[in-house]
Amino acid sequence: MSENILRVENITIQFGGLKAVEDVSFEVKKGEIYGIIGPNGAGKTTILNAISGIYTPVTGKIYFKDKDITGVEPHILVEWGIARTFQNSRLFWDLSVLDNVLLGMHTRKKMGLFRAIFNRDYVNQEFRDSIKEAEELMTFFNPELVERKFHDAKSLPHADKRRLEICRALASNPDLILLDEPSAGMDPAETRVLMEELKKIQELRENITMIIIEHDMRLIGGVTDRVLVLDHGKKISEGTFAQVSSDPRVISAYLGGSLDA
Amino acid sequence: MLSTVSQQLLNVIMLGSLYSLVAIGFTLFFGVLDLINFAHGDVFMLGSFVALFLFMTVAFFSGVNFFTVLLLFLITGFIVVIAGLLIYKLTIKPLATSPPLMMLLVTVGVSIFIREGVMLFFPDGASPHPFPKIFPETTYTFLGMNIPAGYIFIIVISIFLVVAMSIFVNKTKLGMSIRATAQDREAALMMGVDIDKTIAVTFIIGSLLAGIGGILNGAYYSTIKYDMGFIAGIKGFSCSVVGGLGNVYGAIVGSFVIAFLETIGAAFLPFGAEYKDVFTFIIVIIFLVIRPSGLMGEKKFEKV
Amino acid sequence: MGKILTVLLIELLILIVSVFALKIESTVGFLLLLVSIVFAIYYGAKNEKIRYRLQDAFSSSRRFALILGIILIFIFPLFFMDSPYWVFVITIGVIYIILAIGLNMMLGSLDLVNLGFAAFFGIGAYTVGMITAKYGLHLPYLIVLLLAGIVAMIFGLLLCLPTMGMKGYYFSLTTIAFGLAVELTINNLEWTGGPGGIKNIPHISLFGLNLGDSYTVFGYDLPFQLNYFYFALVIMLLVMLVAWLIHNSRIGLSWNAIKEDDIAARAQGINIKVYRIYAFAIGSFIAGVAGAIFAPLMGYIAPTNFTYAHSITMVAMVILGGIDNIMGIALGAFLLSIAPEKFRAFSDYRMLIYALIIILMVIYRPQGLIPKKIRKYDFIGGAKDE
Repeated sequence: MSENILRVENITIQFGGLKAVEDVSFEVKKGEIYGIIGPNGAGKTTILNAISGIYTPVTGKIYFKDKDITGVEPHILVEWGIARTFQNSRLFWDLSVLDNVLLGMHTRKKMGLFRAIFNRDYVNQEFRDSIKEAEELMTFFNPELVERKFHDAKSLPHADKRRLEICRALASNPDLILLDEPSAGMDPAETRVLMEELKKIQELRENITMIIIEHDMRLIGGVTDRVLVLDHGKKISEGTFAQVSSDPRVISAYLGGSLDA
Repeated sequence: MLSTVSQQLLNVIMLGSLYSLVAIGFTLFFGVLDLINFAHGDVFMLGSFVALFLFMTVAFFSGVNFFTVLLLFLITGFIVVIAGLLIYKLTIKPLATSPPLMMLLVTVGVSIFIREGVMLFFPDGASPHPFPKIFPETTYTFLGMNIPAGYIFIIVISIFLVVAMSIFVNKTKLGMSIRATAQDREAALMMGVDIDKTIAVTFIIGSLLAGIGGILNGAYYSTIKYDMGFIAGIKGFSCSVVGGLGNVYGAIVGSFVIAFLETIGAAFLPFGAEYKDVFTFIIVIIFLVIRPSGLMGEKKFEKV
Repeated sequence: MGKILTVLLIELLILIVSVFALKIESTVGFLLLLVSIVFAIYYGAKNEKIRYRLQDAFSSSRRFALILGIILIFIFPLFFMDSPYWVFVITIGVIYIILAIGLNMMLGSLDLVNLGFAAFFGIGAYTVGMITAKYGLHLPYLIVLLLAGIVAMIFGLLLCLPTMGMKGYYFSLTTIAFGLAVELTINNLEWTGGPGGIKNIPHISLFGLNLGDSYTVFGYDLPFQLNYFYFALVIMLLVMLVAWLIHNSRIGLSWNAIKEDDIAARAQGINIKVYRIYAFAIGSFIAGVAGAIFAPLMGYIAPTNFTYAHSITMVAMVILGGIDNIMGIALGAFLLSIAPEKFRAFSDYRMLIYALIIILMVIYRPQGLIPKKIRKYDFIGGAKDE
């Protein structure tokens, strides 16, 4: 039993003739917060999509808890313990805040047709339990979410939308959570709060592993244990944030731009 | 035997040309607007009824000659273009920001509206109407085929329209803006393309081709009925799907493929003639299942 | 007590107005009534005070409102004892409510615009016609009803599997093609009676009662159509109950998630295929059941009963009433099946008016007459609004 929860081995992902990700390998340790950075178009989101099963790499393998998960469908991966958020929040906009979180619990609570029609006691009890759990989870992030639980998800303020998406992902009790630019569109104050919340997630869920894609270097520097740097679909560096930010290849990839921005 | 085969081949060419004129509109709308216009087949039907109406009124006084027929085509073209523009401005444009489901439903509504409108308001609209003989009735014999002169006119006019459309889309500024919008709407917008105007132009082209197609269809079958737009629309959509939605040349190829399979099916399969349409639908469903991007379409990756 | 009285008065008012609306002979009078109803509803909904009082009354005496409503619906046709034709029309309305709720499983829950739904209705009706009239099998009717639903469901699954990956236009095209293929096949096959259809379908016989007989109760001779009305009504209430139970379960919730965003739904662990199969199986089963009531009521069925126009009518009913809201759909289906009878003089314009309704509703009120509501889980009493 290795201490790695995720092992990505030489994956290449191709769209038509275009190689979005080429021969990338890395390992993520259990309980780690792992960052993926790189300029636009570096292939960060593509890797996340491959881990969560939306894309299948043309070559290479992905192992999760030592099980080969290459090409496994997304909904099965959620059941196995991988949850995610999306770069441009993909909430269920016309459903209520509460329903969004309830849907996050789908893999643990799903029911068959027979039960839904003939065993209402079960259904009602299940909903009571789920709603209680959802409210606890929302309270942990922002009590306001509970107050607005019967509002459309689209009516939430921006930062709360992103929070709700993290809530929804956590609701499946994942072992690995993939966050695609959680701070996108947030102002510096909101980003600071988010950083605290990300750290708090590990108190709430022991041993949870996080992979975070970010542009905000303060966030990456502040919360991650290790960082992977991609450029043009290739891995150019890996290590602690301090290590990679002094790596000349990384600096030149960012065209001399400062990583402390 | 040779004559049967070549006669069938002629049928394929005729059907393929007529289907193309409808299919191109579908593919254009899909390109610029991601829209399948279920009312498009009814614009085709409208074209034939407008022509019939004009014929009943105008040609009644002046008799059939080259100029009246030309005038028939021009006025019909003008009227269907107006109809196409109205469809766009009144029903599709207001839904620009609505979910795609709503646009789909509105075109279904418009389709029935046109169909029922013709049935109710055209004199004796519910019955089939004989279509006037607008082309000379000479028949030529060539390689054992009997080719009526009307067929030649139909093919020549179809080719002329397709070539004109192709030149317009490829060589003029407005045509370029159609292609740019189809390729990347946001980029086109940033390059200063007037999207609204571009979409309106595609409705003009699409409706014009379909409307003229309607006249040619009337001349080919020599009878028209208010509900023929329904099958025409489904056929046109099917052809553009088989060719690859969004690709103009794909629509033409798809039209001939469908025309070919249909003719073969009707001629050689048992009960083929009665089940001709069912046969087409089965082909399209198979296509949708195994190759939804069509013969000439590119496989699209959904951006996540 | 005041609340219960409010509910009682409102429901009685609805009953009286609807009876009056159907009874009124002159088209102008009917139109005037219609306009005043619309105005009353419009201003009632605008006035916060009235709206709040009504909402409060209905939500705090939910059970009473429901039971009273059902009793009143049972009384409703008794006002039309003098004209069996109206009872027949209302029964057809009930059958269309069943159909529209079945269609909503795909259209409302999953955004799948099925433009060939009448095919399932036809398959159900033909199953009954073939079993009872053509082969003269004397099976208990409830078995026949079940078979009609199952045969329609099998065709539903046949349509579901190849369309599994399709969305939007592609799906709609395929359903049109499917609907036409079924219609053309029934029309061309000698086995199904061709264009002439199936004649002399025997009446339903249930627990020793023949629904085709006219029964005498308290000295009143009841028209046989009334038997069908009550039978259809019971089935309708069952279908509504099932639809409500599914909507308020994790199945309904997952359907709505898929409709909103299928990629995000998959990222929550929802297996889209399973939920599409549910929608098709239940939806087509319900349509088959509706066909099984329709065939014996008519006594004669033909391919022209199950065309594209019928499919469009069903879509219009759901859109008019309110996508994904059971009461809305029932209202839409009832209005559109009654209206053509009221506007006899304009009956030719029926499809034109349906088309206009679709166009205008989509542009100006896409949520329908009674919009869908956010799930508040008040049925478990556990999630009170703070």
